[in-house]
Amino acid sequence: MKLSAEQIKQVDEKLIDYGFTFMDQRLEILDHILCIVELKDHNTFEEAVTDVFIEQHEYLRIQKSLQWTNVIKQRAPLLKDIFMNPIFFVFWGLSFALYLLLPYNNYSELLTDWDIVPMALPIGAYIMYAYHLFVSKDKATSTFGVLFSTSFVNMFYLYIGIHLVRNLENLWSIVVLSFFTAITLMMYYLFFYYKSKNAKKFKLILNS
Amino acid sequence: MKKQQQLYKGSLNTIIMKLLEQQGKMYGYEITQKVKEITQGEMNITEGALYPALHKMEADGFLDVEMDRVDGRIRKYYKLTESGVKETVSRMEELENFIRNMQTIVNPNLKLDF
Repeated sequence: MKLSAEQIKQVDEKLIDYGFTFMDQRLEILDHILCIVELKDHNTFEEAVTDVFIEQHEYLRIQKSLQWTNVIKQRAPLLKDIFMNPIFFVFWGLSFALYLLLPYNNYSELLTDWDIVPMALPIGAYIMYAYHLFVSKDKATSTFGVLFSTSFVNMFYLYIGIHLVRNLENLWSIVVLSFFTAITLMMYYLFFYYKSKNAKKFKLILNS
Repeated sequence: MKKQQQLYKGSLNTIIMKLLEQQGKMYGYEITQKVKEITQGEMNITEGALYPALHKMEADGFLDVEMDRVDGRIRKYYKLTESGVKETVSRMEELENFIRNMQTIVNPNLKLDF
C-alpha cells in the first residue's frame, strides 16, 4: 500500500508518543516501520500500523533503550569547536577584561570571590540542556555533544584548574581563570549554535 | 535454527560490509530483506542487531550516510567509505580463512575453492 503524507505523519507521531524524541534517530525508525507497513495487506492502514508496532516491539524497545546511549556517546570535537573557535577568543578576552575591571586591591582577594565562576556558570546551561532534552520532540543527539565535552573541561577545572589559579596569584591566574570562564560560556553559545544548525539541517532534509 | 543464528552473529558486520560492497548503497530494511533473499530465508538478521551494527560502523568511519527523500519520507542509506572498503577486503580474507579452517576440521576430504 502506498502511504499518504498524512499517514506518514500519523506514524511519526505514534513514534514520538512511543518515546522517540530525537529526530535524527526517529527518521530511520520511521522509514523502517513504514517499509513494513507498506507490505501489509490489511483492510485498513490503522490495522496495519497497530500490527507492525506489535510485531516490531522488540526492535522498538532496543532502539528506545539505545537513544540515551547514543546521547552519552556524543562528543563535540574540543579542538575544532571550542579552542579554534573565534567566539572562544572573544569570550576569553571579554572575561579577562571584566575580571581586571573588578574593584579589588590584589589578585588574591579577587580570586577568593571569583575563582568559583567557571563552576557556577554552567548551572544555567545544564538547566537549558535538560529542558531541551526532556521537552523538545525534534531534537538531535549531536546537540548534546557540547554538554559532555565542556563538562569534561569543567571537571578538569574543579580538580586541577582551580588549584592552579589559586597558586599563581598573579596576572596569569586571571588569564587561566578567564580561559575556563570562556569555556563555560561556550556551553551556552554552542548550545544555540548546534540547535540552530541541526534544525536547519533537518528542515533542509525534510523539505528536499 | 537458534544455534545457527549464534554462529552468524560474529560475522554480521562482515556480511553487511560485503553486501554494501556489492550493492553500493543500501538502507536498513533493504539489508534485512537482501540477506533473507540470498539465503532463501535461512538467515534472518534482526533489526535489533542490524541498526546498532550499522551505527557502530558509521561511528568507526567504515560507513558513510546519505539521506534521500523516498515516497514522502527520509531514507538513510549506508555506503562504504574508503577505509570501509579496505576493512571489507581484510574481513573477507579473515572469514574465508575461518571457513577453510572449519571445513578442514569438520570435513577434511571436501576441498573448498576460494
